[in-house]
Amino acid sequence: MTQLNFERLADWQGWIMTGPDSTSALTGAGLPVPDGPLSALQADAAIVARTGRDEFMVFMPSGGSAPVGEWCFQRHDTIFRLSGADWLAVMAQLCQFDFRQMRPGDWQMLAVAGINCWLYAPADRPDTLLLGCDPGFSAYLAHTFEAVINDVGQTSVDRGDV
Amino acid sequence: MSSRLNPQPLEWIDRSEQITFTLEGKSYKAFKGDCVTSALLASGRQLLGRSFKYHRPRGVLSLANHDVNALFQSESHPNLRGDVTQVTEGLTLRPCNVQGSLDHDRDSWIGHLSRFMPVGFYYKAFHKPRRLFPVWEKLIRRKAGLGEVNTQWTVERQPKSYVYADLLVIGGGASGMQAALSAAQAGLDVVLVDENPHLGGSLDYQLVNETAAAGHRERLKSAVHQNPGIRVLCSTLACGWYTDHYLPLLTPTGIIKLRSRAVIHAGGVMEQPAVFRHNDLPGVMLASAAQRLISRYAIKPGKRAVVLTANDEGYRAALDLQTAGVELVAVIDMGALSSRGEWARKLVDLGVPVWQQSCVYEACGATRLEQVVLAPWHQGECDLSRTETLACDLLLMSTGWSSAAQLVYQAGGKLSYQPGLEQLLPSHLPDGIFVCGRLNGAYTLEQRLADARAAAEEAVAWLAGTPISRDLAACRDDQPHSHPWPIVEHPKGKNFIDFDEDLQLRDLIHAMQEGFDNIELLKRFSTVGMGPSQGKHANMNAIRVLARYQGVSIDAAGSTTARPFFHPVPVAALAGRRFRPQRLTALHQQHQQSGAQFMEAGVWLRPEYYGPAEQRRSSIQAEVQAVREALGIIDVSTLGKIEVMGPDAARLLDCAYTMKMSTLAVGMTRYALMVDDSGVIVDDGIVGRICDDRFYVTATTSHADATFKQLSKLIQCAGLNVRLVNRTGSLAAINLAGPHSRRVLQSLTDIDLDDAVFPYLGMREGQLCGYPVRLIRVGFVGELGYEIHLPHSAAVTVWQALMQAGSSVGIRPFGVEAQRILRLEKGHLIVGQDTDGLTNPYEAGMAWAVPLKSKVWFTGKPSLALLQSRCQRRLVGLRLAPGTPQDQVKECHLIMAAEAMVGRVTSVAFSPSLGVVIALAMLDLPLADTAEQVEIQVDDGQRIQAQLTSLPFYDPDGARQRVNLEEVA
Amino acid sequence: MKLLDCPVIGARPISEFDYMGEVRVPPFEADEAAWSDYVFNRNGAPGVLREWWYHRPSGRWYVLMRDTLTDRVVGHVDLAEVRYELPS
Repeated sequence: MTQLNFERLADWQGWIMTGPDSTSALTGAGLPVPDGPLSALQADAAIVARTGRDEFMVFMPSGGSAPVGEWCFQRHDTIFRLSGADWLAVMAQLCQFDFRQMRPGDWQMLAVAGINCWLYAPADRPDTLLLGCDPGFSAYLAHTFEAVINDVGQTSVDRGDV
Repeated sequence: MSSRLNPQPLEWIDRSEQITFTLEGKSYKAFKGDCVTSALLASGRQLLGRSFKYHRPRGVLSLANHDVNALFQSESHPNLRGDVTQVTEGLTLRPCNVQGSLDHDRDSWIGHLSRFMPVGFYYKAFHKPRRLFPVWEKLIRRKAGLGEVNTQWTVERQPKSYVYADLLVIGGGASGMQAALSAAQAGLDVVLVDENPHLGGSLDYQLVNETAAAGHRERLKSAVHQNPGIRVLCSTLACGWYTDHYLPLLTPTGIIKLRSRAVIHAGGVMEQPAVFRHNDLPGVMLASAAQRLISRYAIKPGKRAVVLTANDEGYRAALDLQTAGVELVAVIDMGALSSRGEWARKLVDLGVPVWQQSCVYEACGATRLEQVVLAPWHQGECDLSRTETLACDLLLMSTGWSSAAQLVYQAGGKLSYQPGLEQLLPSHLPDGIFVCGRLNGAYTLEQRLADARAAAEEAVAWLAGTPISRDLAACRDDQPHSHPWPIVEHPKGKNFIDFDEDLQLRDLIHAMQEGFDNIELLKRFSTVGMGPSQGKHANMNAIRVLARYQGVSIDAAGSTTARPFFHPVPVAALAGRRFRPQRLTALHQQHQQSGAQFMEAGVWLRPEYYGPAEQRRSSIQAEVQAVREALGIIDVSTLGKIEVMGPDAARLLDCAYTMKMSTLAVGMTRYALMVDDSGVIVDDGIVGRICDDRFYVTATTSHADATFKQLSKLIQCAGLNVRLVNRTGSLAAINLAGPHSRRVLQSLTDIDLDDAVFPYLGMREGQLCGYPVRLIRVGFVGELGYEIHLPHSAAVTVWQALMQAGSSVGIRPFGVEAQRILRLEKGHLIVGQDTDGLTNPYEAGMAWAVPLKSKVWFTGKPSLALLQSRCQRRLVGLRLAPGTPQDQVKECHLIMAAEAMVGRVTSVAFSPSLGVVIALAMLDLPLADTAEQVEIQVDDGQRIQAQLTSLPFYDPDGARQRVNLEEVA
Repeated sequence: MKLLDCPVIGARPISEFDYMGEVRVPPFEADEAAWSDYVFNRNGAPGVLREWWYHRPSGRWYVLMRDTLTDRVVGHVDLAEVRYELPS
């Protein structure tokens, strides 16, 4: 029996900011500034990812202090949380990425079930993956995940132990 | 009559669970774990199938997943292989390719005609007279074939998954297990696959009675299962090799797409049949097949046995038969007893007669083996003056092996013939591919284990980036295990090389005589190796025949590469889960509630029109009419939306688009046309200026991502100080169009819409229903209209507020179809519909959008400068005579001048506003300039007259999109 | 499916990338023949090419050096090295 949970974080908000002033927009809102490209930092529940030279994405539950900047735009990504010991088995059916490489706190941008997504492994919650996609794909992605989760646990492999 | 033995130490059957299944309506009993073949043999049935061409009786050959003459049809599946398909309770089977029954196949007479069906006769016969070919085709298809696909199938999709590993080890025999263990002990993450349901490989059937092997068997199996670094997948076939060690693993529940960093191939060897007359009779089988029957299924394969051998393994098999209680009549050794080892001595000690330097000349029997005729054998020739006849019901063939190296070939490896072993063995391996075990010529258990350790060490070193070179031959045996020429000619033939395709020795000889004397030609002409077993038991002998008759070496004769997949894979496994992304706008549910009929626009779903399907035409007309006379609202969220910011923003857009954007006034927009280096139109949209260093750009639905990509590439190439943000998905967009649009919109926004302060093509930011929005005054559909760009989360509220506010003037949502008609009436083209992969702006009638003189540079400018004077066709407007049926002319219909094609219709629709059918067409010059009317050839070949007319069709001065309803009225 | 071994983000399935051709500088002052050659002809000779690759999920550009004979990525080029000046 698998312990898998897949839920949509409906109350989360997101922003994308770019340009030379983006770091001050982050620090102004009390948010950390990740260093390397395609890396992320977490502050309380907020996730800040560096997606370009001076481009950042921020996602947090609503109520948090929003970054403000001239070139800061609200994003409307649909954010899902996949959790449970079998999360890897689910992702293995949906994504051609070697998740053995993914460490807590890692940020990845890759194709999941054929669409572009960002993934974040929360540093403080094992066996959990946050996954964001364009809001236009939320119905498709939710439907696909539900179907796969339904299958995982029903499929088994013959390990030849008997 | 049961031939089931007492329990065997490693048997795969579970005697506590009995299973009943039926074949040809007859009920059979089996144990859980039995395959179809073993269950039938247990009940005394030896005739398992009929051959492909001659409908000859066939039984067990390999019991190793190559027995393609024992194919069965279940209710749901065709071509089940009896030697590997496990029986299940209630399974209902019938044989494939049989007329009548297995025992009384009405087509078995075909075999008697074999001499009239020489090799390649399909290519030569039946073609004349041509009219009879369908008759022959039908007959042949009925007489020769395999199972039938159940066309009443239910959809079955097996999910695929991705798995990663450091190392894949193929083959769970002694070598594979040892290689996996050594690699895992060195810290690698290993996947070990075996196509059988249990690990063990030949340890568990060929060496089952060897006490020396027992210790290794137990040590290896338990160590493999206990090692957390090894993932074992049984009943799993690595069925192909693709670049970067990407291997599909076929499991019972679907395909695993494994990405491994390296591969050790320990897939072993495939036993090869001897070729003599009637080598296909039930009762004649490979020695390893008999050993599998005994040890896996506890089946006694016969009562009186003769063993034909050319190696030690034949003597091992003879000993195993003796242990299983089979009477040994004789061993026929194609070589000398003196070169055999310990097993042969044991057998001689038992008093079993051994005929040295002899061969089987023919096997005899009607539907099963009754006796064999043997003859002395010297240098490939039989001495027929001294034949002997032995009565028996079982004949084992143990004359050679061939490496199961299909994946090594696929990965780019090479095999060459090793005379010492009389076998093709790996001689060159590509990066990351390693081999060991019998596949690599290591035959004794000690050799195999040593070879496996060496291969693992090699793989570990290679993965660590410190490759070592090893002598592939270091652990190989020095004794041949294969006979170089296990092939006996017979004047009456029926000495089969290929059991799948019923190819006899003479078929190959005839093919070579006809000039097909190269392995690739021989294969294609004779079809050797092209049956369902894909040459696993036929190719080696075919190569030997080719080499000998052409007088060349085996290496010079060459071998073919078994393409992926080298074993049949069910379509259900290939199909996998369906990933078909569908993108919905924020207003999707809103459209559903309004009765929208959706259409696909790339990945997007968009409302085509609103209303019941049977009222399609009238709904679309009413939508057009609403926009023209009152107010329409359309969801245009699928448009690409890009923020362009930075000191070089204007410079970027000047380079990316034909028109000059740096001169655009703040708060205004301009049509934006994008061409590629060759001057071909690739996208259009608008560019709006928000402030000096900020622009807002829209792109067509289908080109949105490509436009973003193009802009970002230009930034990188030219090192521009610009930032882009793609807001396509985060922003919704609504176009409110119609004479009442200004009045209705004004009631909901703080932005002053007065024409004096918000002119045509203006862009303003402000609040709408409390949300931050950007309004752009556009004219795509030719009426006063505003495009509202707003946050995704605001779309539903704003849409509903607009519907509410517009209800008094009869607002109507309109779909893509009405929008297409509206813009067609205005003569606006759609990129990709009215343009194709060669259309430049001059052909599209947009010379006005190409400021060659005033701009120093933009992408495609040099091409357009050249094309300006070389225009060969042009987009024109056509008008059909009133009363012409609405659907007669379709998009892509040709425009003809006498018999010449001079153009094609790109868009056509009935214009509710004009009351006639109008069209855009790409028409050759100079006709486009001079003709007054043209002929369109429609589906039935009829030609319809169309009048050339100036564009736009509707409101040529554009008065309606610029001014107030009051002013127009 | 092939992997693209990107020196920056690691080995990724090539399906996540768009291949955007060899790094070339438009001949801004070219005559007709030279311009046509730029537009329509590509260098097919085996060798190490500097090529544009666009990673769609992250929207980032990479210039990778690829040996077209062995189809292996042999290096990574800083974008600053392939810049050119646009006419103005």
